Amino acid sequence: MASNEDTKVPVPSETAEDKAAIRERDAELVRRAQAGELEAFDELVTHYRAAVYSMIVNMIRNDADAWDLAQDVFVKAWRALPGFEARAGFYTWLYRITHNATYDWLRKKKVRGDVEFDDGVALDAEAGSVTAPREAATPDAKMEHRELGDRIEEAIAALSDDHRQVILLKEVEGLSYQEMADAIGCSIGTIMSRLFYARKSLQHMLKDLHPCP
Amino acid sequence: MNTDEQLMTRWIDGDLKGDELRAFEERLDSGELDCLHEDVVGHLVPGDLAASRASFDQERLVTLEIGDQIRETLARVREPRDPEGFNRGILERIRAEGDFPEAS
Repeated sequence: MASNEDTKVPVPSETAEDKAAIRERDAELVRRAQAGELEAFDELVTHYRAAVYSMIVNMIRNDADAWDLAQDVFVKAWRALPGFEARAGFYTWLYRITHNATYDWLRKKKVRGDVEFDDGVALDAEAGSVTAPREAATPDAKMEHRELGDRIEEAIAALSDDHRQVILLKEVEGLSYQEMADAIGCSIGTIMSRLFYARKSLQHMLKDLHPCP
Repeated sequence: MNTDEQLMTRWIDGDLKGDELRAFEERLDSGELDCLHEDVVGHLVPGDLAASRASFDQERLVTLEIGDQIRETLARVREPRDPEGFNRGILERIRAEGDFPEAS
């Protein structure tokens, strides 16, 4: 089976109407799952597994561990489901569980001193990408694009966990400050400050690509 | 009350509007916020407010460009390997725990 498949999942960049419909659908699935209907929870997993898995892969950069950790997230979500109240929306709630599980994982790995980034994780823009290539690129352009992508990935990997998280939630997931604060469990002010310093760090690491005056 | 770092983040993201935006840009123009990018301002002629402001504008552009590149590099929603097996594994673990929410 292909490791990366094109998929379409609800992401925050969709329209307000889409979001409302997704929220309504999720609320119904959550209500049924809370009543013990495992099929409804299975449907929620199907809707959100790609989003959760992608977020974890971007954070921990290890395909096999991300697979296991993403499964843990959904099992934790099932256990916590009786206490879920629909105020924040299932997506945001699930992201908070993902955030906590990922941080726990990173913390344990650091304690054991065995954090490794898997360079083999497929991050090829042409495989499994929702973002379609804009146009056919020349081999040189492809190489340049690939090198730029590598630099971006290296820079993000070098950020602190807190900074990497806010950059991914803002730039990749497209969450608002409030959604990020809800997902991480901190204030909006903390989110904005972390973004400021994370961006400074990225600029510093990528200054040869983006010289400031 | 936002700190200057927080206001700068909102300015870069286009989140400041109206009076709040005008007040912040006046402070940018006055050089009052140069401490926020000392690494850049250190290379400018002291007191050159136009150059200082231009460097903030450039920094904003660079931040937005990097954001675009991050999206282009990482903004992919990827299914896990064997998605059906992924779901199946979760359901098996849940069934094994026998920990179903109470029916309402």
